[in-house]
Amino acid sequence: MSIVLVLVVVYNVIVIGGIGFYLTRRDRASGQVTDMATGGRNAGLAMFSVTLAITYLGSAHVYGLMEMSFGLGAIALWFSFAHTILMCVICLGTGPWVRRLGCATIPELMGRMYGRQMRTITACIGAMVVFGLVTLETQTLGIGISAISGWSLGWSAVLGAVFGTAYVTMGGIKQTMWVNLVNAVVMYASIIIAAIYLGFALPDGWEGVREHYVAGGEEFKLSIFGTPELMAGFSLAAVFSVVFSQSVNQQGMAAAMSARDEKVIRRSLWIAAPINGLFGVFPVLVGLAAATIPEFAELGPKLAGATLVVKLLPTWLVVLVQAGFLGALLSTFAMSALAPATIFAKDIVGANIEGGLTSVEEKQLIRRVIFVVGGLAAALTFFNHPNVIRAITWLFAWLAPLFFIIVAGLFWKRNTAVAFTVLVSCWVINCAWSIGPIKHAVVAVFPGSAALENAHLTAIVAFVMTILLYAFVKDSEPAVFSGPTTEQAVKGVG
Amino acid sequence: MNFALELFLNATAMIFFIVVVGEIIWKLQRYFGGEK
Repeated sequence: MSIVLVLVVVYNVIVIGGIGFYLTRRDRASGQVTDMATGGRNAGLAMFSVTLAITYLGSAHVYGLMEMSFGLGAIALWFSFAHTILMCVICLGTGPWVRRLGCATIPELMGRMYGRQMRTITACIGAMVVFGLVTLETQTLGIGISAISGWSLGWSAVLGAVFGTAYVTMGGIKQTMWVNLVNAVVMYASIIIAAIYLGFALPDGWEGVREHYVAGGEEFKLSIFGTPELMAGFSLAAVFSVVFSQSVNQQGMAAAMSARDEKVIRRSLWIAAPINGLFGVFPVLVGLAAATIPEFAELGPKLAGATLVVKLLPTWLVVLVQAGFLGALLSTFAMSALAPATIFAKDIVGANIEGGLTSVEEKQLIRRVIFVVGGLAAALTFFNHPNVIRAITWLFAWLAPLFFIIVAGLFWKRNTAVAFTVLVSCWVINCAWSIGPIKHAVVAVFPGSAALENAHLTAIVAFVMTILLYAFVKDSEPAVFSGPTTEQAVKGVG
Repeated sequence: MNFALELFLNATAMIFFIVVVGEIIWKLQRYFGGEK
């Protein structure tokens, strides 16, 4: 076993185990049972901001950005800027809305707006989508561990699932938040030191990287605005997919629901946005540098950046950088694994049995479901390794219509039949667009539609259908936030 | 200026520009009687 892997594992055991042990002892001493999904709804500014920022720093930021900047250049940073726009939408819009209503899950919010059946339907689809994300996060944890250890991807993914499950089962969201705070400090310290160190370790420093692109006539790769074609084809598409698909997903909303109050969520924008957005600078720099050095460039976009980090940095710094990367991946895995477990316990079991579950029963059930989710994710990832970015885009497509239905229900009007029709239509279209022969037949008639990803299609269809159907529907209930005060609005939810 | 530092500063400026635009839009919709 490599020394780097041993040290990264030791770091994670100390941080995760130590914090888990401390929180369990504190819970026992106080005699209270902390809600795993909401952490007692008392997260302050620092903890909430960091958790929100790191929840959205997953595999795509760490390895995806290195790969994208290798080919596209600095314009790859628009993937990070898309997440900054997402932070604005969550901190100023969707986050305070769900916190105000006191919901714990997105299906619960749907249920309060559109009735119990809609809650169950959304819960089933939501749990399926987030479970899909868990399997992909397991795979990327495996890629990280495999890059450090040299083990096969399958066994590395199993080890990643074990770490991730241990991370979240010990204390739920409260523990994840504390670990995030520690990891954020380690991650940022390590990437800043690494970026400065690389300035000396690269053959001609960072200026050599600039000169390489200028000499090769590829100066546009040094600019965050790239070329007009790339701005339209890459940047706009990234903003579109990220904002509509992620602004109402369970992981981000779980963080919002744990905040002390709405003010904390709004203020956190100024901390969460830079923490999340600036992380991308380091992988983009690494990808750009790796493409200029033949030794790494010949490994191809997927491996060049990761190999450069391991080869050019000293062991102690590689350990810190990898521990920080693994921390970001583990955090995303933890929030993703917690989401289907919470939905299952609260929306599928708790909402459908007489009297609901007690807090102890709910905590036990969530913990058991996390074990099952982690085990299934490990087993599936051991045998299958689908393309991560394509799979994530496909999964996001299922969530895009929820954004429009929720915003309409909160501020315009509510009608269960309309909400049901929009969701089911989008999901059917999503399935149809995933079947090759059907997509090819449509593209043959409308060649322009070839560029549309599933998430774009479901977002456009949901937007148009929501506007049209609500404009013509006759019997609808008033919007949730149509009352003159917040209290009346919350009370008025049917 | 060092290329890495330049990229970092450009990204910082862009991120704060987006945040400020977000805040302005939110304040404008509040001013015009939107969600509080």
